[in-house]
Order: sequence, then C-alpha cells, then structure tokens
Amino acid sequence: MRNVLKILASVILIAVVIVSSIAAVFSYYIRCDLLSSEFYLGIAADSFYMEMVKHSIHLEFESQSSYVGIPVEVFDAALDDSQLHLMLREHIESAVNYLNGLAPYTEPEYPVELIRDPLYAYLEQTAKEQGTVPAKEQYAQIDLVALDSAALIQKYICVIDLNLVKDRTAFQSVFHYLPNSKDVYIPAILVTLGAIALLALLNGKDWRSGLNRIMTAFWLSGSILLVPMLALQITGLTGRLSIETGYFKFFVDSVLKDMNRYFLLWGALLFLVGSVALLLLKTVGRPAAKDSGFRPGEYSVNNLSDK
Amino acid sequence: MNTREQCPKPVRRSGTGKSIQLLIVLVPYLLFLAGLFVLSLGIFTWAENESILSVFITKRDQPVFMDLNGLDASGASGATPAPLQKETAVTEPDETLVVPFYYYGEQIGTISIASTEMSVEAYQGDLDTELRMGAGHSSVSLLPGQDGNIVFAAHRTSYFKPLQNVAVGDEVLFETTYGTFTYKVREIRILESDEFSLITKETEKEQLTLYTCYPFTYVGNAPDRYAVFCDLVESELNT
Repeated sequence: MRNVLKILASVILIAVVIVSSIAAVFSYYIRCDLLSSEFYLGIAADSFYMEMVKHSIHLEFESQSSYVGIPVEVFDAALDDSQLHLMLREHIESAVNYLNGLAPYTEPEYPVELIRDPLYAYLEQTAKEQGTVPAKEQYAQIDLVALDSAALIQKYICVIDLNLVKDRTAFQSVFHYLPNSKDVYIPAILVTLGAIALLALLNGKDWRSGLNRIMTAFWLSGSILLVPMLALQITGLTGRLSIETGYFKFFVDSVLKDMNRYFLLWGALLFLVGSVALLLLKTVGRPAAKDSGFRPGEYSVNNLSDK
Repeated sequence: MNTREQCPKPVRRSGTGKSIQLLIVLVPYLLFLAGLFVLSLGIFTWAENESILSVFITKRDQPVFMDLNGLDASGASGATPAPLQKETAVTEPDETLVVPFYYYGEQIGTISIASTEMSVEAYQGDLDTELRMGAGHSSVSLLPGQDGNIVFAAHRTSYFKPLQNVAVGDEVLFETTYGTFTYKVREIRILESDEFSLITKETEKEQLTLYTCYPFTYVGNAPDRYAVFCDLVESELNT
C-alpha cells in the first residue's frame, strides 16, 4: 500500500514538473517576444521590411495619383524615411504598452504638412504652366488629398491595428490574462523546482529512481514541446499563410518562425537532457545484482515491505 | 532451510541480451514519440483542411491566391479561358448567345479606338485593382451582345486619357473572348456628379458607355464625369 501511494505521488509530481516546466517556457516566450517591443522593433528594423511597406504605400499612391491627376513621384517625394521609422517605433511601443496593460493605445499620425507642401507646390507649378492661378477650392481639394495620403501611410505603418480588434469580446477575454501570463514563469520555475525536490525526497536514498523520474518528466516536457514543433516545421504551415500584402506576410511569418524556433530550441534542450540522463541511468553504473536480474529480498521470507 | 540457499543463482546476460533489454526499455518511449508526432501531424492536417483556419492557409504547390480563371459560372473546374479568338463568323447577337461568366480581375477583352490610337485592356470589375490594369467593367451593367448598357470606366490620367480626343462618329472596336463588337460614338457628354445615373441607366438598345473623371488636367478629385456613348454597329461571334 505504501508503495502504491509512493508511486501515485511520484506520478502526480512528474505531471506537476511537466505542466509547470512547459508553463514556464510559454510564459517566458510571452515575456521576451510576444509582449516585448524590442522583438517587434527587431523585425521592423529589417530594411527589407521597410522597403516592402514603402512599396505598398507607393502602390496606394499610384492609385491615388490616377484619381487626383498628380504624378505619383510627387507623392513618393513626400515620404520621409526618418518620419516613417519614428512612426513605426511609436506605433509598436504604443501597441505593446497597451497589450501589457500599461497605457491606452494611440495611433501615430504622419505630419500632413509633409505631404501637403509638395502637393501645393505641384498645384502652383501646374497652374503657372497653364497661365492660371489655383482657386481656393483646389487648395481645399489638395488638403483633402493630403489628409487621405496621411491616412494611407498610417494604415501601412500600423501593422498591429488594435483599433480593429480591441473592443471585440474574444480579444478582450484573451487580453484579460495576457499581461499576467508573462509573469507566470517565476512561480512556474519555483513549482518545478519544488516538485523536483519532493521527487528526490520521496525516493530517499534511492537517488537513481528519483533522478530517473525527474529526467522522465523533463524528457516528456521536451517531447511535448519538440515533437509538435517538428510536425509544424514538416507541414510548413507557418510559411503558407494566405496573406497577400507582402510586408504583413513578412511580419507574421517572422513572428511565427521565431515562435517555432523558440519552442524547438527549448523542446530540444529538455528532450536531449532527459534522453542522455535516462540512457546513462539505464546503462552506466547499475548495481551488479540488479544488472544480473537478482532482486534483493524478492525471494526472502523476511521481506515484509509489501505487507 | 537457509534463505540464501533458496535464492536462484545470478544469471549472467550476454551483450546481445543487454541490447535487447535496452531496446525493450526504449520501445515505450519510442511509441510515445511516434504517437505524439502522429497526433500533432493529424491536428495540423485537420487545421489545414477542415478547420476554420483552412481559409488562411494555402497549398504548398499553388500560388498565394488561387487562380479562379479556370472556373466557370457554376464553380466547376474547367480549362483556362480561351485567348482572344481571331477566327470569327459574322452573326447577329441573338437570344442564343451565351456570354461567359467573368470573375473580378479577369480580362474580358480589349477596347480600341483607332482615331485616337487608344487600345485598353478591359477587365471585369471597377475596383482599384482593375482600374490599375486597364478599363474596369461595372459588374451591374451588361456585356457586349446582351442588348443593354455596357459601362466601362478608367482613369483620366492614363488609360482613358485619349478619350478627350474622341469625336462623334468615331469607331470603337471591342474584341472580347467570345466575339468582336464594333460601335460608333453617338454622343459625348460632360456630366456633373449628380448626373451619374445617366451613365448607368438601362437602355433598350445595346450601348457601350465609356467614362472617366473630368476635367482631364484637374489637380485634385475631379468633380465631373466625361462620358462617351456608343451604339452597336456590328458584331462577330467566335465560332
């Protein structure tokens, strides 16, 4: 009976080690990547990303240009690289602060005058060539075009547009737990260590059995993290999302690939540590009597441990 | 009897025996890994094909967006649309004419006006995507051969810029994937924004309406519309 209880307690503790170690890995991922502005800024800092954003804005400007009769070059010239980078940084920091529950979400705005001034210049130059003077209504039209263009830029800079989702119930229910989940990793690590200590105590002097159970727990945690991530990599799902907009696809792909890599790494680490330790325990330094199949006390009439 | 005498003698196991023993120990671990892998693969395959997520995932061997050109109106898969046919037989548009179904962004044909050297590709739909490629067909209007108003729009700064040089009586040739239709310009009108219904209004006779924003050189959102109304003169359906 005592042995049964001991085995039951060991199983429960192994389960606790598995759950808490996986929770720690997840929580640390949320803290370091998912809710970290540095992570997103790292993706956005890729020159390839900014080029794609500018290309998307250029395509919108082409369309705008066709409607308003202003060459697309005039719009393109109004794009200020440093301003775009600044907006992107402001946007990411604002979105991440909101997700962390630190501040309300605000969208950065592109300074309208940066677009309006070149458009005014073009209007005046065209009027001069035609020997006319621009009418007040045309200036008003240009103001509208400049506002539209600034809104277009804002649309492409705000890669995580929280205004679209932040009032939705599904988002709110996730958002409620998100800021707290990033701090779960410290209690999760403490619980893991506690469960490991209890497993060691439970097995007393039989340190091999204790270590065997601890390493089995690590091996299982590693497998649960590693194997699904390997399957995900084999199916290639992370790179096959049907997103047409290039820069957005790049952003989402980068986030998913990072997630895949992170869990693969932690899974592989736990799996390898568990595998090597278990193999060593099963092959090296086993007592000769056990190795030969002899069970001390098994055939002894004095053995009362199970009674 | 002495207890020790009851104990069996220790049996020494060979190297092969040890290997087999180790293998037997490993089997449950390997089975667990295999099970976990199959389960994960199953979940991802289900997510890819059966779940709501499937709409966000593309097949590896297909482009990001499926080419819908190969589907007919019923949605059944078929061959890609035939290129513009050159061999045609002279016919009158009649009730037996079957006009193909065009998806948004699919090319219907080419509109040419020889007098202004204009040649514009015509696409189904008049959204930004189609207007970037050429003239866009208002999908609420009809198509050549359907005895009604056929409305096409394009930008005044690019594809329909030559319309400003069109004169009444000029010939407009519309080569579609199912036939060639010849029209003659009947009327050119400059319409204000509240007169837009004149462009899209239903007609009893076949009419091709080409329109763009006006004035052509206006800087800003041009307030008016420049519309060219054409009557059908001749039609040749592909054999």
